[in-house]
Amino acid sequence: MKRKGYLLPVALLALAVIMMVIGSLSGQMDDVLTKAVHICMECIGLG
Amino acid sequence: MKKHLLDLLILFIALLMLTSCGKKADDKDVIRFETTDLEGNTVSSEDIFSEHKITLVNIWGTYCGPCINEMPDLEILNQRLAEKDCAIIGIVSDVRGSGDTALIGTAKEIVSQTGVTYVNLVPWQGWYEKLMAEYIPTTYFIDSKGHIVGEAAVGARGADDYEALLDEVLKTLDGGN
Amino acid sequence: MGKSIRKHARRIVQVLWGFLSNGYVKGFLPGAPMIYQGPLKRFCVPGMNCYSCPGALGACPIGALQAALNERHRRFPSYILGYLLAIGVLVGRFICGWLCLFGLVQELLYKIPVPKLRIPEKVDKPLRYLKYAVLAVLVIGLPLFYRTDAGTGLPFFCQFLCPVGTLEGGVPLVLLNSVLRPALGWLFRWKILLLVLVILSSIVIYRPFCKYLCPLGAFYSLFQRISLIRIQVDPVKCTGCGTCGKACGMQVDPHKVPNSTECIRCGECIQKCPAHALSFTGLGKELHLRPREDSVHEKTSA
Repeated sequence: MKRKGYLLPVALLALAVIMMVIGSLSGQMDDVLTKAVHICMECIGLG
Repeated sequence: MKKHLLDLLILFIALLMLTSCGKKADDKDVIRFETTDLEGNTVSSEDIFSEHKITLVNIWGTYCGPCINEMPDLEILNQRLAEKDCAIIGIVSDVRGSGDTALIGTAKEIVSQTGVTYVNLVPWQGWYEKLMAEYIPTTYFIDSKGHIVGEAAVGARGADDYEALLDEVLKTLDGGN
Repeated sequence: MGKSIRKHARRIVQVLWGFLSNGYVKGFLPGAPMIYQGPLKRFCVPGMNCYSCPGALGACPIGALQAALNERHRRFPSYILGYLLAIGVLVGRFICGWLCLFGLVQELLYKIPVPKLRIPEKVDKPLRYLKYAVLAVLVIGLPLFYRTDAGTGLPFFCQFLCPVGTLEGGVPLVLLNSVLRPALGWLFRWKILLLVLVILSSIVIYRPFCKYLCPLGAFYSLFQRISLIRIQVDPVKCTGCGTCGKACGMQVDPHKVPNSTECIRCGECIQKCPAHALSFTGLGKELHLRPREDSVHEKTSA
């Protein structure tokens, strides 16, 4: 396969990693945790 | 491949049979803490629990719609509780600590929007080991010595429902004394 | 023995991952917390897996995404979207075929020996677009823009549609815990109805949730043609016999459209191709994830 065929996915992957780093630095991982361990009941259809 | 499905079904049924017990709050645990309220004032467990026969501890979160929707009802309940020598407080489960100004701000917004006047606390280290709140809103009943009594109320409900539950808990207290 | 393991590699991976990602056994025992509350839930699993499952050790990406969009003060959910983008660009819908517990559940239900339903193409093809509507409206659009009186959004997909949550979370919790039962009402009954419908359709249709409803599959499918791991057709070897299309449960024609948005990359076609013309490739190199059934040509080493 041509190397050029992989430019887009590799660039997107780099972007994805940057997004994840920025997100975790601004505490978004902790947000995910909080909502996954103190679950709003109706939010999962228990109501 | 039929084997796989059968195996899984058997496993699931086995799990169900093993675990079909209900869950009660542990009566032996004592709740003790020192933390701040949303205004930054220090609050300790002794201050609150010893003053009342039963304190309702309502655990909620700023992201939880049903929790916020029941808060006006909890304020109505709050007015009724004084006559019974009881009280209600809230714990804002998603606030990360007294330094979490963003979420404390959001919590204050919600408190003023819902007209709540009772104390709301910032969670302390290890708070949910005893006040387990896998689901919110969860409301615990705490006696004057800091023990959890009765069953926790999981899920939002109206002021009358809470009051009925509280009356049942009060009955067991008087029966015991 | 080795060949047998390799032949069933995908099933083994699916089952192992199902147990691994839902390995919090304590959640099923009385007296312990109903769900895992430890630090692993900072991370999302790559497939559909409700974080309210008593055994779940990770968060659901679709649940986490809606929760982020529902906040009173919304911020761009770069962590979750970055994660989904990374997975999509790396493997596309490979997750669906190998690392999704609910996909496995549907496949096992399909093994029940009853006559299967053939959905005519006229209905099937447009219906496949429904999952994109589910993604755009129920997972993103409404949580982003709709606000309740409480000032928060509603997780429309999780709350009103997702059968994965009902099966993995709702049902076990209600069975295991009497504390939750007073809170149940019409919403729970509706979710049970939906779950039953999905289960029944899975018995007569192969992976109906994946085909028509799953927003996560819809998202990953956007990256199928550009993902680093792909399926490749060797035009020299391919005879156009059509065996691959017949073997495909998702009604894809791999020799014509090897990286179709509907392909869950299970590798059945690769395994069944008599000319060994199909293969998984990663960055141009061939990946031997599924052994070929018979040798028409000499086996070439990787």
